[in-house]
Amino acid sequence: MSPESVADPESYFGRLRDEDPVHWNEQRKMWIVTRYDDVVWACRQPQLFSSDKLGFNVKELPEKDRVRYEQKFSPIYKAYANWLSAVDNPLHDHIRLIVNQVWTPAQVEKRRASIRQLIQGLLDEIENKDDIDFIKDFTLPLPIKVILDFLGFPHEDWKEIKKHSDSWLFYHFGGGTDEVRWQSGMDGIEGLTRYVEPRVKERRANPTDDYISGLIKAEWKGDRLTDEEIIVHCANLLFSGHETTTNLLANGMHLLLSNRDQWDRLCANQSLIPTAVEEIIRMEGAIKSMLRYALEDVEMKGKKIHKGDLVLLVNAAANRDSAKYANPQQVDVGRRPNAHLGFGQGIHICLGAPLVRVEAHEAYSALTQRFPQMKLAADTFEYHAILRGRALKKLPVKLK
Amino acid sequence: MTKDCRARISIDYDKCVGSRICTAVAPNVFTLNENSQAAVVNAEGDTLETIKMAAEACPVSAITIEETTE
Repeated sequence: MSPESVADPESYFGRLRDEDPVHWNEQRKMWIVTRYDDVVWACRQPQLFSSDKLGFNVKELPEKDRVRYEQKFSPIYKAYANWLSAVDNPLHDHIRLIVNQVWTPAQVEKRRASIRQLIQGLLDEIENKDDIDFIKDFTLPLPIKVILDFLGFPHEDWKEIKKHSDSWLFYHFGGGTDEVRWQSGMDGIEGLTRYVEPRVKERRANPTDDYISGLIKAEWKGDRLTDEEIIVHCANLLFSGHETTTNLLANGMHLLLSNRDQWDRLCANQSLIPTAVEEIIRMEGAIKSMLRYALEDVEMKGKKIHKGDLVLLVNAAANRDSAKYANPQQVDVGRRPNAHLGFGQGIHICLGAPLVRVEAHEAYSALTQRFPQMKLAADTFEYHAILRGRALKKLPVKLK
Repeated sequence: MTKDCRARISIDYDKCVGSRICTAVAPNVFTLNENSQAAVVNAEGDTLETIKMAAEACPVSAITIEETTE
């Protein structure tokens, strides 16, 4: 990615949306889809566009290396085979419908009071400081502790989880046969599953009323999850449950403080928090795009996408499509309706979305009340050079 | 709740993402429309309990159930 498109993805994706909405990128060897209606349509056709992430990675390997990689890096293959966002149907529905017995918006909502308490505790720790890195001091520890609470694991393990998550995350950058990347992925996923496995076995032996015990008991039409599926699902929650929320909360704070009138408007009117959160996800969501590959020949905007072609669905560009939104480049914390694509669409709609919303509502609610004077403490901000995510490296702010 | 209870089902199309979960939970009530979003095909196709379960299972809370005796 060019430095310009890392700092401002809209500079590249927005141009494609206006000029060539279904674009073949020769360098990346993939189609790039950027208009709202097209991204929605493709997300809702899982029979045409596969989410098989293991498939994406294996496709990049030369034929001669495939058996060797499968043997050498088998934990990655095993994890992806049961990873909810990385599998197609019927396996996806098998996992999702059972998980859905214990993870619904109403069940997530029950965590609100404890999340609020956690936020107040973190803000108590920083309140006497003048300058902080908003990420290191707040948006990093919060979501990871929330997801540890959710799974019934102790807060003090958060640094261990973070280390494994970072290794697993590194695997998702770059591409091809880079063995360092594959090794990092294997270390990360092995670390996460090694952490989860004895805890799942313990809950099976001594069930409580916690999430994992509920998952072990959960069934859908007589179908239950195996221990292996539960272990991978919990590893997935530990990873996905914090990484993107850290970035979203930081992106949102940066967006609001860069648009001071909107921050002041929010501080003066707490009832705007829910629409503000949706506007943050629309404009600066943590996931910029979603990768798929075509399972059949498909025509979009007159372009012929061939079976097997990679297709990047750029929700960040779709979220600023003027065919869908009035003044799409303008931040409006009161925007309504706001059917953004920040959590995806279709069968792979983000499982964690209800939890992210509760965390973001509570975080911005507390921040607007306690630190209305907060301001940015740098002139320039750097983002990680990643294609699919939107992640600030640091966010220095002055609290008062 | 009586046997005569029926459900008046509303779908918020600004929220519905086409997750298809309602069509799995209450397949005789919900189907997909031409936009691959939820649509009611027969409000009495499944029991009220099953319809409520589908509403609760919706990942974006797009389904509202109003009980009525009409």
